Amino acid sequence: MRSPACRALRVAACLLAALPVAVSARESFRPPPLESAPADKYGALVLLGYRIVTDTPGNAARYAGNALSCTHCHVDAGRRPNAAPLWAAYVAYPRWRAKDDRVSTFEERVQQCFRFSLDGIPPALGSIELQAITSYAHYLATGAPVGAELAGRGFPELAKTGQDPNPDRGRLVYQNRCSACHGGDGAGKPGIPPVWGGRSYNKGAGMANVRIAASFIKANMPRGNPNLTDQEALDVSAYINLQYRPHDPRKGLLGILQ
Amino acid sequence: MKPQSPALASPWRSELMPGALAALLTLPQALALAALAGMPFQAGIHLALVPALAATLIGHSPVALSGPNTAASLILASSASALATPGSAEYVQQVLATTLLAGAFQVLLAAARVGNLLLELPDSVTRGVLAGTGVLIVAQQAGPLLAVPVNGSGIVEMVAQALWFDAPNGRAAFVGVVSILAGLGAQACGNRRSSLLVALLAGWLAAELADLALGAANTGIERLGAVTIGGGFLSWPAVDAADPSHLLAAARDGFAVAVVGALQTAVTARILAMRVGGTLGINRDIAGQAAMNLLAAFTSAFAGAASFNRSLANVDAGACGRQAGIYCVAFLGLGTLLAGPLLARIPLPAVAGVLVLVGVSMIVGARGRAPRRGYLAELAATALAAVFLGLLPAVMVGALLAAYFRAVTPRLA
Repeated sequence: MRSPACRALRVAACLLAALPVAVSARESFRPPPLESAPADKYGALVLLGYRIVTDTPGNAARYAGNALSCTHCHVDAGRRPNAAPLWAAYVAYPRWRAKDDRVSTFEERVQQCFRFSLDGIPPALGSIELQAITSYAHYLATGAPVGAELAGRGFPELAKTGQDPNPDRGRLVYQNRCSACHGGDGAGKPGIPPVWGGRSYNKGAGMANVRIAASFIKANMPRGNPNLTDQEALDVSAYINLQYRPHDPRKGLLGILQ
Repeated sequence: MKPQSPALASPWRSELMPGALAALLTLPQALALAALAGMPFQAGIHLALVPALAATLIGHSPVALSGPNTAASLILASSASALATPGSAEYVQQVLATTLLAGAFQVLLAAARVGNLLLELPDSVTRGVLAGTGVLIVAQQAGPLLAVPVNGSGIVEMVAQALWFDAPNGRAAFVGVVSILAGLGAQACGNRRSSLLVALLAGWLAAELADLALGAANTGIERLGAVTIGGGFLSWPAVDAADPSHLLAAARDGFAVAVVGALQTAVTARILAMRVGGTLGINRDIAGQAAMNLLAAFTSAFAGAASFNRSLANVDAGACGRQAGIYCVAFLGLGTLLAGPLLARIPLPAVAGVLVLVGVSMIVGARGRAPRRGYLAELAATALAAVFLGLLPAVMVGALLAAYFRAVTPRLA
């Protein structure tokens, strides 16, 4: 039983046994299509949530503060894995967050998207907008295990490249790979989000963090052909996040003076 | 204070300030009451524009301000949400149909001169409603003042939720307290008429300073949110003819809205006549409400009524004529078109502070010498019923009690 052949067999068996697990861990959760949402009041709320997620300034006009929509970070209306999918977020809350240093609910997390990424005003708890977005995320998460860390949640973390992000190189990457859609001034176009300037996310948003934005860019940008290297993603993220954008609403004058 | 020259005392000048205050008070209420009715928030502003202008111009009572109203919004919401999801096109259609029928019923009420019934109500009942509503308005501000989400129904639940919530927002409370103190200070300095506007602006300034110093994400002071109007302004009320339940519900609840709205308007007119004098023309006031609700059905709005708190604030700010109501509509229209991002920053705790002052002024205004036996009992019973049961039961309780005291009072000859 101690022969090398035997050991090799056992290793092979272990690998085989582990294989299906590995495959299922890689294969991400599939949210149900919007068309099969039930035709009842819940379904109507899901639909309203979908409309808000895909056109936030249009359908949550009271609270949206810039030209961004939820779907610009939560790509494909919150369905795509590795682009902060809403189905993975829904089952991950309530959870402790360093940003708040307390346990936040899903609704409070959505409020923060409005405060920071949408640079607007958080919808009150119980507002129809918050109910609709929560219902939509709940619907996308149909069948997902509650509390599970689903594959594809958030943005995939970049490995350390061994180099600092370099905004000078990032400018070249931006000009070659990004500016055709997002514009040389970063202001975007109709349907394409501004990546800096007064109509983009503010300095308190997750995207204002160079590593987080780089993870998003690496996994999702350029649209349809995300083939930047890790270093290019970091560089362009540093470049974008050095440009002007609305100030961090967590920082007041007192904080700056300190 | 400079003495005003007679040329400056023209009503078009003196009503500017009450008009501005009314517009600033209407905005947050229009948005909140649209949400309460389950309608898009723009609908509340639509109602406060053309339909409210019609009520101001047609109604008899010049200083009454009409538009979004809590009781009407509640009836609309409970009616339409039984048939459709708030926010859906079907829901909006149902509310528009109910609104149209409410206006039609109010035409009938005005034509039948039902308003004359309200003339028989004794003064004690009017004062009781005034005091009770004042208490209710103050109690309703507990949640917004402490920035605590309150969803209870009834005064006890509302106050209990606000006071026993574990984490009230001290910064929001600070803004509300600054508003109240500034308003009281202005009153103490003799600027009674400008005190409410001073209160709102002082609270707003305090909120801006707090946000500037600490950062908006840290203060968590709730703001109004953008108030741009746009998209569909005209609407065509229609219900699914194939399903009679929709039309029946619209008729049933349209009638309820018509009656409650007419009663609210009549009682407001009586209170205003008590405060500023002038004649009563309740049937014409109801006709004004009818015009408002009929127009609301065609301008993407929803049914409303005269507003106690805005009308009383209008009077407290010194309004005497229709000009304040006209200015209010003009400021609302121009403000939402031109200054949406600025108005978006109105802090809700400051608005709550102003409404506390309005409520207290209503309670104080209800005082008076009891001219006869039973007067105080009628006043107290009406006020209690207004706080705990609502307007319609309050008027009925007061009227019954008044009839009882009249019956048991020994008469000469």
